[in-house]
Amino acid sequence: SDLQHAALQSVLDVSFLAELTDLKLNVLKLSEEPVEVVGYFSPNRYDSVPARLTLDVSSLTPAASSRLDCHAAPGRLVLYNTIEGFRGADKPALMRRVAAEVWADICSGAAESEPWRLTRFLVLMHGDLKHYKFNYWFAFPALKPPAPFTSPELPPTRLADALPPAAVEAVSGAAGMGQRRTLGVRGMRQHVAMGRARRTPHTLTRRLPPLRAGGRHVLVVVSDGSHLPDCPAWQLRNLLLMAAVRWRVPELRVCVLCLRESSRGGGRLDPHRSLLLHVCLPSLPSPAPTPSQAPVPPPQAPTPCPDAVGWEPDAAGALRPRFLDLGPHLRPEAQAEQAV
Amino acid sequence: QTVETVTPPLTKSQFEEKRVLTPDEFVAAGDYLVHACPTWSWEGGDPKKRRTYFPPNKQFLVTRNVPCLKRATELEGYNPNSEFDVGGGEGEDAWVATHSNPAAASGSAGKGEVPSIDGAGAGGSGGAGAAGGNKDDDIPDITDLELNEADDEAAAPSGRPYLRAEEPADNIMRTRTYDLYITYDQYYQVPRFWLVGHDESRKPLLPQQVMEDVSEEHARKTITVDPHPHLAGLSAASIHPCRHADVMKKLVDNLLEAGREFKVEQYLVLFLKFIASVVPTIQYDYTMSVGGE
Repeated sequence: SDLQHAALQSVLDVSFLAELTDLKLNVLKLSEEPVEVVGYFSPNRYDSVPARLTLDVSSLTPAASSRLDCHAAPGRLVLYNTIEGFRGADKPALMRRVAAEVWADICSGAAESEPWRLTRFLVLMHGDLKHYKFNYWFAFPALKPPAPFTSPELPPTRLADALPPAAVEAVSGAAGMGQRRTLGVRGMRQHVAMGRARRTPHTLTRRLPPLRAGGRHVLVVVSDGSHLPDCPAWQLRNLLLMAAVRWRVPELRVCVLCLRESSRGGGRLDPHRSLLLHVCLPSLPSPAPTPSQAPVPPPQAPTPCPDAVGWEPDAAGALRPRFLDLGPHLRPEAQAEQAV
Repeated sequence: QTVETVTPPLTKSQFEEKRVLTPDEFVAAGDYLVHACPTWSWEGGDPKKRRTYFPPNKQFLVTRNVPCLKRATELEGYNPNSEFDVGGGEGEDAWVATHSNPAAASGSAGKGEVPSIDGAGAGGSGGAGAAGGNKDDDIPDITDLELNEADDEAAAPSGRPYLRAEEPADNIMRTRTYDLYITYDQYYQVPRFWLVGHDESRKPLLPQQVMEDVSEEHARKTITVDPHPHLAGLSAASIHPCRHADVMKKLVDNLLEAGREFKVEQYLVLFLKFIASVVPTIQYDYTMSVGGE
């Protein structure tokens, strides 16, 4: 049956909006040029909440960020001067533009070495800066494959059920979730821990009997932000598309290991929440030559970018912008009242 | 803060006498905490607000997106008068077990007026995006913005498994999440604990709402709202540190009387066990042991 993915959730930290207000008044002024920002996914540690994309004070100055324990995702912020501008934004066009970048990175192979390129996001905003009121809308573009990704066995197996304890321990060590801690923004490239089987450490493949049973299997390992027991997070979609487009996967089947962290932290894998997933990819014409072929591809018609979906619903579940009134948080008078 | 500008930071350790910390001791205790309990990590925060006596990337400690499944007032059998007896005299472990483990409590809720969240503790459900009841999101003049995306069979229905329109509102699990900060308070020379929360639709919580997740006793007495020392623009609820040294002194005395050791590095681990009694439903990990057997 068709594989389903848990939609991403955004969080705007008050510190981000305070910093953005400052930037808008003093630097951006009337410009509506897109601003590059960085969003952070906390480690997925709890079974009751997913890892969420958070924008905070360091999202606007990623170079100065000291957030070491998170996955970073590149985003494009468009801050409109007027509510009319925000309302009238050509959202499908903006979505297509980001989707085209993801698609180009898939086709060129850039996303193989830097998988964070698959996690691009978009955020449209309008802020009434005098009254600290903000309308905003996130989009997490997922490119749609020509036919759905399917899985012969749903719901997915929990790692603890799929493998004997010794093998789980080996996977835990080999997966090295803890390494992320030292990566910081550079850790963007670690968003997908390992691309494909031939990059997989021997320790992992050697001790994973089910994975090598059929000979050359491709194992994809992802840090999975979803907390749902039966579906992986949204980001896997673009990765699977990349696998379908770029990789010569035997029988169009990949095995996906969705890593979720223990609530004790420290990069310890939680085998009771981590999932092992078998995915069947749709058949696609390969638009790009593999590296072993001629380095210069013959001129060809550019492959059209697939449609993208992924606008974040509001709190009521409708595809509408979200609204935040931070007056009670940021107004000086309000702060004075609270500081009793 | 004015006081801080004229009072130099403590340089000579007074840990043994007063159970307070120098900045260096705070860093050592923070390093130990990050090692013992890696859900916590160091951060540098706003460069403009850095304290020069700390390393640039070790200004404060933080753990993020910590779930809080229910309000403190809903804790079954929770008696604010029985909490955290710092007076001692109840045996060495009294302070550890003065009330139930919040993680355990959340799994066995659902009686009387407490909305049923059966199964919530065991997993799978959570603060998904479609929590109802937030009609203030629906700003009339932008509802016409609603988009129609192409059908997307690969998207999991949002809000599963418990948020369904036909269910009574009380069945909606009010999962909040918290970003918890530990900063160093130069005046009181102790750690200071901050709570920055988001509701189930991920709006920032007002300090008054945060109070609902603090034990009643402490909400009235010891929570204050102040500007976060390292994050510009953010006012947050924090546990006022004026009594921390006293509490820590009693806790450490209890440990020592019980024949255990206590080193300054373990300060924050013990501190977090104390804080757990103030915020009984916020499920951060404070289960690491302290005080060497």
